[in-house]
Amino acid sequence: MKEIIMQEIPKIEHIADLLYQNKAHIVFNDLENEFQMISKIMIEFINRCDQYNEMGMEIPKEVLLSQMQNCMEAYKKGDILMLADSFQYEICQSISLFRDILNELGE
Amino acid sequence: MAENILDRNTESLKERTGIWSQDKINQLLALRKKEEYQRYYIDSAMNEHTIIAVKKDKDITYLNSRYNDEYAAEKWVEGIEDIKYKSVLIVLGLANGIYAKTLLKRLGAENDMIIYEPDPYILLKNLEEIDLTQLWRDQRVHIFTKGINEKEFRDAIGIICPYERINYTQIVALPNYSQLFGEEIARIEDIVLKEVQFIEAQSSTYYHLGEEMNDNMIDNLEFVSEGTTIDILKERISQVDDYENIPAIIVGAGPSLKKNIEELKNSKNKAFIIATDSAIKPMLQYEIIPDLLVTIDPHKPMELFEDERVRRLPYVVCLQTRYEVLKEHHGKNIFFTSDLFMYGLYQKFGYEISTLETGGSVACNGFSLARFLGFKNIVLIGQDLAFTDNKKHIEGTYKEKAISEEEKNAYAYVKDIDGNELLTYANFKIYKEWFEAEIAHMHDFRVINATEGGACILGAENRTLKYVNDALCTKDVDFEQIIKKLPQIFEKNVKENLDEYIASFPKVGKKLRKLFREIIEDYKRIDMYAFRGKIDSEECKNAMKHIDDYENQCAEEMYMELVKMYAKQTEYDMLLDVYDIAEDEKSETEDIHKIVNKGIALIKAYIDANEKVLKRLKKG
Repeated sequence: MKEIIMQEIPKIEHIADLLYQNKAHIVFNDLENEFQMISKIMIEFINRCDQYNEMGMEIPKEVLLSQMQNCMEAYKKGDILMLADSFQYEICQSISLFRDILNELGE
Repeated sequence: MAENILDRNTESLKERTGIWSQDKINQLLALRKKEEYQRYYIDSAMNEHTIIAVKKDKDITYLNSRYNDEYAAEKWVEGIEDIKYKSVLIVLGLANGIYAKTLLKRLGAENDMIIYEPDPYILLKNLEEIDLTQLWRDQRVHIFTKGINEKEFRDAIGIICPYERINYTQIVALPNYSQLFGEEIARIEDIVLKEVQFIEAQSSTYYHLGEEMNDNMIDNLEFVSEGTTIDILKERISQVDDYENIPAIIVGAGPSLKKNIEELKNSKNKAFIIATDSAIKPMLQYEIIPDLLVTIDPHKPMELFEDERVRRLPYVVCLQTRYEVLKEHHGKNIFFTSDLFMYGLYQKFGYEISTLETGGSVACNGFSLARFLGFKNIVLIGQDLAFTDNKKHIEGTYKEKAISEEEKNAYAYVKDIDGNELLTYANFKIYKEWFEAEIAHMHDFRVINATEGGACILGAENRTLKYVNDALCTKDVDFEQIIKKLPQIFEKNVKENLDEYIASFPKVGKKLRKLFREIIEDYKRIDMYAFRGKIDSEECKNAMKHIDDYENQCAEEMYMELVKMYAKQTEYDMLLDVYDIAEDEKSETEDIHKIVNKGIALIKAYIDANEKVLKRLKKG
């Protein structure tokens, strides 16, 4: 999982850049696959939330869920800026946190 | 709402005369009372900047990043490629102004940014809530919005993006604008494309006819002091009671003219009849004498002017009109200007002369003339702008063959009023689009296409000429007498001074011959200093200053405009890649070498052109 996350973070950042650049047409074909990868990582993170919170971490599961919803909503609406924001400031930060936790726990 | 922000914004916008006036600002401010305005919001981004959002249906869409609008704008600017020295950026959308402000940081003093906001409510929201005075005051920025100053937007493209800058002009849209304003964005892109095509077509005309146009200009100097102007004509026509409502009929030579030329007889003395030169022969065959004839083509066939009745008509002309046409003419010449030379000449002697907008054909000039004169009902006949029955012109105009299969490949298709496709010249399509664009921006005007055939001109009412005669030609007016009484523009003493001034041109030409040689020597010195790495030396700066001084001396002479006209072909060829220098590389030695070579080539072109002018003057 950690390796997947490491590969995904620069990809997500790159997509966010292209969206901010109003070059959505370049990335739209890849978005479907990207959503699958993001969903896979985020669901894994959400599934492990209870376990991490029991260990004393305070990870708001509902925020992660709402971030995923925002991302999907932006995509469905075709809202380029909302999607870019979602990638840049929500999804990317959440999965970076997941990566840090995995690092810390040595998983 | 912060009134002081609104005041500051509107005051600084008003400083951009020609684009914004109090009237235009009032039009924009009037939108505040519309219910529609409730759909526009301001919000605060996470970085505490004011951002803008629009509600459409049930969704709210932001025009900026809700987290960090500055970062998003930096990324957007990073994504713009190929910004060169003299590039023009046409930015579709304003959002909260951050994109334009960020882009400005990347642009040099020689770049221009034309912002078109497709939604006037967004501009209004900005004016009320965000202090953008710095942006409005930046001379590189030109801001336009839908429904308020679209006409100025089109004009600005022509002015800011001349032929040599076309290759350095790009359109960039802000994120979410295509999603929100897709149709409007596509429409504006289409307008820009058409303007660019028009600039290219004009340049192409100049490229091919330039020499003839210039020869005519110089030869026609002998008529300048004896004519009158469209400005005087306008002043006299405006004294006619209710003149605005008298229809002005522009007669083109399209094949459909045969359908209603008989009816045109009934318009005589009840409408202001403007004949295009190509339409005059069939008109005379039907004994119809127009109120005036417009002729601008530098090589119009003389067969159109053989009839003595034509030669006695008043002509609306410019300096590029075919010389032989004016030479054989016994009637009044009513001048407009289509070049800086004539405009400058009149200014020099304290007189005004207006220009007429053109879409490339003489009928476009006729249309502009009718508008200029103040007629509110403009009627087009014989404006097929397409081939009807496989013919380009009405029978009796020229000896003309039908369109060949080979010719068809180079042409375009347009729709008639029933939606059927018609073959036409690519040029005719441009003329048609020019009419449409003009009509789209005309308020309080009625344009009637009474061609009764040919291409559909969007925005014009399709009516018969009989309808025009019955409904609009309701009173008698003797325009012939009004035109007969038009005075010559120049009084006797001014005329003498003007003739004397023109007679001094050969002397000026000899002076410029010397100056051009001096400039070339200075260019060579600069190149040498640059090669030796002494571009900042006093000697090099002196050489640059000399060039500036000499160029200023040249520019002070009206005669120089004639030289420039002859050098235009070379100018076009050279200017196409003259700005092909990246903004951050323009001080490199090799670029200086390139600029010096271009400069020398241009001055050499002026030397050749100067000799041509001198030779032509001598011949005259």
